[in-house]
Amino acid sequence: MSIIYIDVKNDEDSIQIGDYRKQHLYRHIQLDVVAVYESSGAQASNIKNGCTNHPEALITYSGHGDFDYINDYGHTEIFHANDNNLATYLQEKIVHLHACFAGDSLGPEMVRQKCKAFFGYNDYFKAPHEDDPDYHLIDHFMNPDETLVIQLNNGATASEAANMAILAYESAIEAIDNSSQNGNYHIFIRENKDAFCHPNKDSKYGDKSATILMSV
Amino acid sequence: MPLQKKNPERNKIPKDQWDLVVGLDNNGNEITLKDYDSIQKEGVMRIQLDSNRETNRKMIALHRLENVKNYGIFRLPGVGKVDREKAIQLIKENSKHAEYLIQLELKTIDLMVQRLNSTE
Repeated sequence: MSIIYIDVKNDEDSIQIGDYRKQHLYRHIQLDVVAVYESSGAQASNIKNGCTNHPEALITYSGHGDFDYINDYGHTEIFHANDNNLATYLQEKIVHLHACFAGDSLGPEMVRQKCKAFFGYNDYFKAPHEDDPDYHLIDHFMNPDETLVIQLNNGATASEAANMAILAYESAIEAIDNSSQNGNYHIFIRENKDAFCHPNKDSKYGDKSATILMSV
Repeated sequence: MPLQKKNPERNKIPKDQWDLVVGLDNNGNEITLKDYDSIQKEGVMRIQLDSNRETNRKMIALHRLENVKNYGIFRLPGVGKVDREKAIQLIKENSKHAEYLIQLELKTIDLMVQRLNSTE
């Protein structure tokens, strides 16, 4: 498998999510990572070069997103829905954006321009802050995306991986409901699940049968 | 806290939620989840929680936030750390995040009432 791994860590929010992914997700997939872009190394030009050099791959990204773009370390747009050359970078790829809102317009446009399958969020992605006494509950908020990437890397189809992520969300909801947390995290985990975009949800998110090809 | 052991959904209601406002009655009096539960049990009247909620949504959200314990701290893009005090401030200032924070409280009310009324 080939994974292009991107953590744009340029403020407290993105550092929290990026550091968490590096400590948890990355160790599960590192043998298949062919390019890593993080912190100041996560520049749009570098990332685009990496996408060109690895034509069949899974891109997994964390950082700030908006409805129609995602940013790099210097707040330059990496991919924008108005870019007609997305296929140059994303053709034959599966894209996972752990970012707010980008599932709204950017994800469907990526698919329209030959990305095989897209996973992301069409709303804020909510997570506990590290100052909260129940910060350990962040595991439940991060586990569905971690499950998704690991499943895709193990050769699951987009549909199978999405289903596993949804199951992880169901477990997470149960865990938060039964935690000592008093209210708003109960809503956050449900909102994250509702905002999760994947090919099983709508064909605009790509091909349910898409997989990352085995390397030969 | 009212207990009903045979309703697992009801048992998922955090104890502090029982004393938080979930709506207003027809006279404008605040109704907590505990009040609502008692009224439902007595069968005297069924309160339509959403009948006057829209016009009082900001006040209801603020009242809940001013009394809630253990409010989960989180991040909002462009704001950063949001704790209970910050949420109150953002709503009072009518910031661009105020509507989301009000909706969050209303969704919490809906989830708790749904658990209360669950027959599972």
